[in-house]
Amino acid sequence: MKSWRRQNHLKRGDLRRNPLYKTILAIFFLIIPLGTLMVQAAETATPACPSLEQRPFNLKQVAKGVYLRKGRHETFTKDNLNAIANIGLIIGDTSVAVIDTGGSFCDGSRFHKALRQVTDKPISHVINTHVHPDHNLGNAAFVNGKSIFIGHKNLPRAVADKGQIYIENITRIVGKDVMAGTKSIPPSVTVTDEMKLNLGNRPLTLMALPTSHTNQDLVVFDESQKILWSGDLVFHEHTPVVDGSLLGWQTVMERLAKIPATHLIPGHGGPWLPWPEGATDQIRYLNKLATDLRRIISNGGTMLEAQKQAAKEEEEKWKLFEEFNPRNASAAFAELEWE
Amino acid sequence: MNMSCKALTYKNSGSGLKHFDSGALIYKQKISRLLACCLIAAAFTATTFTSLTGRNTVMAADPVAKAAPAVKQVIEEDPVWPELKTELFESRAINSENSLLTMEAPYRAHDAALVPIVIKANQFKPGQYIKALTLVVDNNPVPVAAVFDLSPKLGPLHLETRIRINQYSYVRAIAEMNDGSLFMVAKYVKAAGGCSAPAMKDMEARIAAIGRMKLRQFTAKPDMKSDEHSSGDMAKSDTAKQLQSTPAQREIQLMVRHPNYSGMQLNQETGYYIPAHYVEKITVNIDGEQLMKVDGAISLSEDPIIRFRFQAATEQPTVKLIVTDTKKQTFETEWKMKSPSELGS
Repeated sequence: MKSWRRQNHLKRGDLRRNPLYKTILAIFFLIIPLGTLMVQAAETATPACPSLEQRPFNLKQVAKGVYLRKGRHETFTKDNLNAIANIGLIIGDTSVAVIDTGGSFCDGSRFHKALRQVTDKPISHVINTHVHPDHNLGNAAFVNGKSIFIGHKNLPRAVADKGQIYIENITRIVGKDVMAGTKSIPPSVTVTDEMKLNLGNRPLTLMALPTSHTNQDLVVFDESQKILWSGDLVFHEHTPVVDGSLLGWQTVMERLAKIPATHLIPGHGGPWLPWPEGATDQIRYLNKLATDLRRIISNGGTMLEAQKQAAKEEEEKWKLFEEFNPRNASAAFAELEWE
Repeated sequence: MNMSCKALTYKNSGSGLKHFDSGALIYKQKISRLLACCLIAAAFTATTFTSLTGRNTVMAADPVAKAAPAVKQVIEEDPVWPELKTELFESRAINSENSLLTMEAPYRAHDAALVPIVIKANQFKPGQYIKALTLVVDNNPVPVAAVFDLSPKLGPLHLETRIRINQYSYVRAIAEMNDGSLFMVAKYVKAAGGCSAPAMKDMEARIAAIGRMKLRQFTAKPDMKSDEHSSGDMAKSDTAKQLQSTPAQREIQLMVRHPNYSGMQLNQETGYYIPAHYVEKITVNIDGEQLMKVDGAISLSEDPIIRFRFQAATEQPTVKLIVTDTKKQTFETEWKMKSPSELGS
């Protein structure tokens, strides 16, 4: 440094006074570290679970004292925050019942905040229609020591067997951020056959059904408004998912048709359909699947053939058909083979 | 980053240099060195940022897309098989470049706990037959799904079963001929979680029905391959005649209700894994003689099934199915088969 300066007849400080040198130093010591910090700050400023202001929750009133968030017809993604099932609430004179809580703690807590924008009454009941993770992984957002969690008598066992696996699998898909805080929470009160609740001039009947969509399906009948909350016992637009028994489901549909409701809130689609007409598409799909499978089985067809052929005519009528129909065909094939 | 570098270039060509006279050249060199450093730093920082944001993009995308490179690697390298091969068959040569065996399996399994696999083999040289067939899922915790001991009376192999696949894996069938030679066929199947997947359906009903058995009978349809060979109706009716003649080829499916617990399914209530409880041995006797014996393991699906063809010596063979599980419970049922004419209607 010394000899270099002497060689070039420079005084101490000349280099430091050069504005270009200063600029370069500035870039090194100020702009780069600052830029890095700013980019990092920008990354942390958009949290995995956005507030309602950052991203609306779309909780909409569908009837007197009934609010619903319609789920997207998608599989779990980081982008949709697992908000893929229909979830909602019923408000009585004295309290509120929540029906399903969403696909993650994030989805559930956003639901909770949106709920507080429409009512300040206490949440007396959290009703879980079944174990599937898009419907009940939001439970943790409603735990307050006061609300009663209600489900089918088979739900505690199903939560125990499957809950943790659902969380692990979904975390692998959407990442830890979206799933932060998500817990699998079983019901504290179970329904064996029927249970009646009242939210204050708002009587509800809860019915536990035999193995159909799953083995823990529970429906809610809102008597004063004549609304049937079917959970996933009725799918609309979204391909039905057979995770219990195809034959059982067909029988249960006949039983549901007798419920004196005028409107239906399905587990997917809708969100607001006439009853019993709202189940027409699904009944047609289930019948078609059963008919095709029985034909394939009696012709000596294989499961591989069934996956490709069964209910193929229904393809254009449903969303997510390729995701769920071949799987339904396998499950129902194995079931119907025993007939 | 680009913006600041542009500003720098502008300054360099502008006011910066007029303060210097004699040392201008040296300053230019010094500055260009600094500039180079700056560019390197910029490039480094930019790369870091790209990798940061790049990671986010991948996470938002389809998880399958993220897994794709890993899968390719598995196919290319497949580190599991050479070791498995040595364990199972030592240094014996396995012929995998043959057209004797074929396998049908879904490339992407729709239900990882219920993946149908069909294995077929043509008739070999006279006197040659498959003595044993080993079904292997490379990446399953217990890779050997089943070993089938086969009688020469089975005839050309036409076998189907349903298995669990725990992660993306090759599924292989290795046939050991009566002369000791080995043949192999393999298919890659994308599936995950088949062994640890909780029993998806109504578990209590399953347990109550354990040991229930069923026989299904089919008219053995000629395979697509034999169809291709036959030209015209004459040839087809010849095939039909051959099928009707004794010993006739018959096709059956044997089914048993069993949860086939893999030992990898967690019971959250107790915090323990549900103990492995699976079908260990399946024996099929036809007219009092053993046709097939299957040594099963956790990779067979719940409610295991085997569907196969065999050469029947009688019109209405008696089929006996004997199933033993790991709790040493034995279930057995015997059926008298329908004659081909009864079945045809």
